[in-house]
Amino acid sequence: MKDNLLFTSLVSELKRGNLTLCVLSQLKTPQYGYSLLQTLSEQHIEIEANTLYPMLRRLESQGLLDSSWDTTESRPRKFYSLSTQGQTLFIDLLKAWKEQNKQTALLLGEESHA
Amino acid sequence: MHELIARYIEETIRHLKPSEREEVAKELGTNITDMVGENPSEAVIEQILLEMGSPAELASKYRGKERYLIGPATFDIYFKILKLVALVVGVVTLVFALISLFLSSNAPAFGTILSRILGTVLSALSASFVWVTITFALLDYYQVKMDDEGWDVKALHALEALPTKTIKRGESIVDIVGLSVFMLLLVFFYSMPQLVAIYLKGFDPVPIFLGEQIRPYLIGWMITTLFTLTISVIKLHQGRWSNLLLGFSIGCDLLGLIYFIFLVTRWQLYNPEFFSFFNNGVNTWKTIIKAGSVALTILTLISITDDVYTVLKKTVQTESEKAPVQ
Repeated sequence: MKDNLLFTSLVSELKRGNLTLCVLSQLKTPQYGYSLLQTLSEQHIEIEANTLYPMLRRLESQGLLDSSWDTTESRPRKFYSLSTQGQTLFIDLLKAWKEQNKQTALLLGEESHA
Repeated sequence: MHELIARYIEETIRHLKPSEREEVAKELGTNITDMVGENPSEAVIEQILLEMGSPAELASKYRGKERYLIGPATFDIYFKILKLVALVVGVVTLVFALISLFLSSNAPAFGTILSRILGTVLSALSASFVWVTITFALLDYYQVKMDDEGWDVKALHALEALPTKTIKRGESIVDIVGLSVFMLLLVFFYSMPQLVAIYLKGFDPVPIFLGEQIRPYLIGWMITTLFTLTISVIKLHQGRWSNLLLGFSIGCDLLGLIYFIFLVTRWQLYNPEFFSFFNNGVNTWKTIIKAGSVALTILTLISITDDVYTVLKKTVQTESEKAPVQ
């Protein structure tokens, strides 16, 4: 039971760092909170609603996202998309992620051969 | 919007900054309404809200950082200062409670004395707790940095001589407590100079100094005492000698000594009645005071030599210790 809890918390720690990258990747086209949640879950990226919504606001305040209210539909929704700064940062972040994955795979690959 | 959702949102934004509330409420409202779908049953709404977690937790995610009265970065130094202030305030109020009881004319019962002393000390302690905490909470709120900025490895190199150049914590604390008591005695002396007097049975007390004349000199004495007190606090904080600290420490000792001698040799400050009280004559008193000043000078010089010796000897030692390593 205790080990299980530890495992869960380690897995969520492992995923947490990648969440920002996943969210940014889906915002090349504007999305609102719930639609983004669905898109991610369709791609088997698990993110809690109570993590995603505050994260969108934070990324916006950091200047990585732009937002606007769409009032044409019956219910007004707040749409987010990458800002210019967000696009540049996403490309850099993606590079860093690939590099890190490569190194990790090399390391773990060697380990499994040993 | 469903009543439960509205309540949930209201509970959440209550924990947020007023400027953020409206926007978060609007956005959260549409998102949760999207999540529950068209014409949801009460059970579905409850399920979704359960998944969203407690409003307080959600709000803390929106805030992005935890709120502390005194954050983890400041807590150590806060606790250190709290202990020091408690010690100093405790001892100082205890001493003064005892003094004031001795000075009071009627002799109360032992129980009364004990409860009065305990009451005074406890109320002083809780007041200092409140003030230290409020000060630190404000510093934390305005994000004042307490750490030394720009730490680098040089600081570690400089620590080589640490074990030999330490200033004992106990000594610094005794200094701080003693100087605080002395400082309050000076304030006491300032407010009632006539109480510093010769008390003999069958005589009216004879004040040693002339009240009005001595007061401006006492302010100077308080200032030199505050200097020394500050140096003691720095010694406790640093925990080790540096040449600069040694310089300031010697400077303060000498300043205190010179000021004291300057003060006690202002003959016009003494009460003429005090001089004539014992049948010694003015000149005998002057000789006694001068001799006392000389003795005090010698004691101060010994103490300074001791400090200098501690610092210099250890420096030389570490240099010779380094040689065989290379």
